[in-house]
Amino acid sequence: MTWLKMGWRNLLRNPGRTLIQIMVVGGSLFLAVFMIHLQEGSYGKLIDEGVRMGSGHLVFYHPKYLRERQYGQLFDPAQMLIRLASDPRIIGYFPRLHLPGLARSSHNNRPALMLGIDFEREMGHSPLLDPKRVATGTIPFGQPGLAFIGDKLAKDLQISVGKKFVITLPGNNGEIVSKAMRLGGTFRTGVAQVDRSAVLIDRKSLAALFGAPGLVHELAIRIRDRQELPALKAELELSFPASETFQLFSWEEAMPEIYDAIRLDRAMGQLIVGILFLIVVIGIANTLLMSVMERTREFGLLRALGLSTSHIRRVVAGEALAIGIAGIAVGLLAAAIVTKYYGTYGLDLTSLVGGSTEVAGMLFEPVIRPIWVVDRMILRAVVLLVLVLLASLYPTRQALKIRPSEAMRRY
Amino acid sequence: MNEAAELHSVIKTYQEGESRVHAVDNVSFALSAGDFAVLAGPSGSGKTTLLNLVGGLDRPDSGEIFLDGKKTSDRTDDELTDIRLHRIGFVFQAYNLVPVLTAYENVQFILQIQGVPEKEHGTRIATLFHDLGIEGLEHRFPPQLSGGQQQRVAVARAIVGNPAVVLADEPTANLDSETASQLLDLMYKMNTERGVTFLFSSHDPMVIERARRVIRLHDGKLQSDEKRS
Ligand SMILES: Nc1ncnc2c1ncn2[C@@H]1O[C@H](COP(=O)(O)OP(=O)(O)O)[C@@H](O)[C@H]1O
Ligand SMILES: [Mg+2]
Repeated sequence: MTWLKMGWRNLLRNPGRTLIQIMVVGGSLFLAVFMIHLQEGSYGKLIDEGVRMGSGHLVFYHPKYLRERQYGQLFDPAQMLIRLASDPRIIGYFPRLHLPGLARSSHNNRPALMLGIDFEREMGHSPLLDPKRVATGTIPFGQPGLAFIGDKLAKDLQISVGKKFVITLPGNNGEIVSKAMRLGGTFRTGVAQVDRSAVLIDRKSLAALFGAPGLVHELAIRIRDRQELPALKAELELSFPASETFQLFSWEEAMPEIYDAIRLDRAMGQLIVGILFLIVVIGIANTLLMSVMERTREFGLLRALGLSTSHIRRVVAGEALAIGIAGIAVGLLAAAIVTKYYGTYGLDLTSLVGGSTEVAGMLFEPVIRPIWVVDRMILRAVVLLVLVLLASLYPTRQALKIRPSEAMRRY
Repeated sequence: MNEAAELHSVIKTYQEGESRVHAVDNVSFALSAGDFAVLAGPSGSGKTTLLNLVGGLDRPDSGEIFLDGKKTSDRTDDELTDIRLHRIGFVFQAYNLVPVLTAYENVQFILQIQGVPEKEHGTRIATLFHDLGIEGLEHRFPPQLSGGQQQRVAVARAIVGNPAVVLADEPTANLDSETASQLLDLMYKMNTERGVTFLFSSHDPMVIERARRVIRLHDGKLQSDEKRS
């Protein structure tokens, strides 16, 4: 006769109460686990979105570029481009120039951010080149004289497709340089800052204008699977050790605002789960205590028969363990089913948040696909099981206070 | 003959409001191995208190108690628990069995806790169930057993661990006279065939007359101690 089996039979004496306890444990574990899956799913989306819009999963910069953003902090990506082309784990890599300056039309002028990109390379990756977001004109592939700019900026400059405007920026040699561009098309992302200031230009012609042919500010790398990131980063660091002109960064370093938001959200999640589990433990302890107190005579009998302190501990812990195991099975099963379902169909929060939202300057569709986080799922299940076992401590203390001679006489 | 249990000037008092109740008042006697003795006396005469003292459920205020020649009256709670497990068999008046265990499991439970190897359990329990006439009831739970059957299972459980003495506190009080008589027959059989030492209590003359030794208590005092053959 195992203590667990005895615990289970004791629980079955009061099926209603037992069912409630199992539901409490199972329900809280379901919430705790599904919450991780949902959170990590949304982080994955946030990271992917951020990676596509910004710096990639991995990115080369001048070592001080992230802090200082000096336009002279350039490097030559030639060797890296060769290495990156042959790696199946990499689905895209994007050399870019970022140059703040001025956009001027015959009507108006506006501050603008000139982005030198390789249009063909970025197609299918950059959300700015998403055909769905083209407002007017077309994306200017293979036409170095055309610019592709935010529709708000076009409106401010009062220009339309085919019209000319002038970009002005500080050149690499310290002198102001400018060039007349023709408007090839406009895009609308919904993110005000981007739509109001971004000017996308062929990288080579921008580099020529700037006076640094072949050099870039950024080489962003997008990879197939985030799991492969640490290994890939280590390999690339080995091939391209940090030097005076460049250094490899991961997305966490390159986009600290996203990384911090995720860490904060994770911590909040842990706090909520902590509170939830604490309430569960108090509830279970209370119910176990009730069940012990109802069986004073029985515990007296067990003591009279010669069950030691540790035997009594096992009797009560057996009950807690039975509840814990059953509850965890229910909770994990529910979490698995719901994760699978929403993993396939997506959890649409549009009605809750009201349309797409902007998070850290990025467009965020509120359809979340939860993803499996097996290690933390197991961790939470184990933590809950341990807590349920700990919940049997106080009831056990009360059971041990029962004096057999009194219990046998009175009850 | 060696003594299964000995009591020397044992006193146990209870504070009941203002007054002190002398539940057991300076009692001395020795129980020999193989005895089939009854503690006789009216309700409140101290029978239960005395059995609890012998069985290590309580400690005396003064006096000494020995089991198998070893003093038990000055042991710690944990030591007494161990003594109860290995040296004492208890049969109580009612609700003797653990409700979530079957008849078989109630008996086996003791062997498991004693640490008796699993392979010995089957035969030891089977012969006891056979001798006590409760074969076929092994897999019933206590509520599915009659009062008499429950008490027989309790006797089996008390005996299975080979205790120095079986203490039975009014084991027949909840049974009709026919069933009570059968239970006493079985206890007697265990005593004669297996040499199990019994000390049981009763206030029922019919039960008392079946014992080979009658220890009479009155207001906690030992009144008489007669042996019959
Ligand atoms: N825990 C207790 N507190 C106070 N008095 C008690 C207690 N236990 C027993 N007594 C008293 O001790 C006396 C002997 O009781 P008991 O041993 O139960 O007698 P019996 O078993 O012969 O009926 C009674 O007067 C009873 O009221
Ligand atoms: Mg009594």
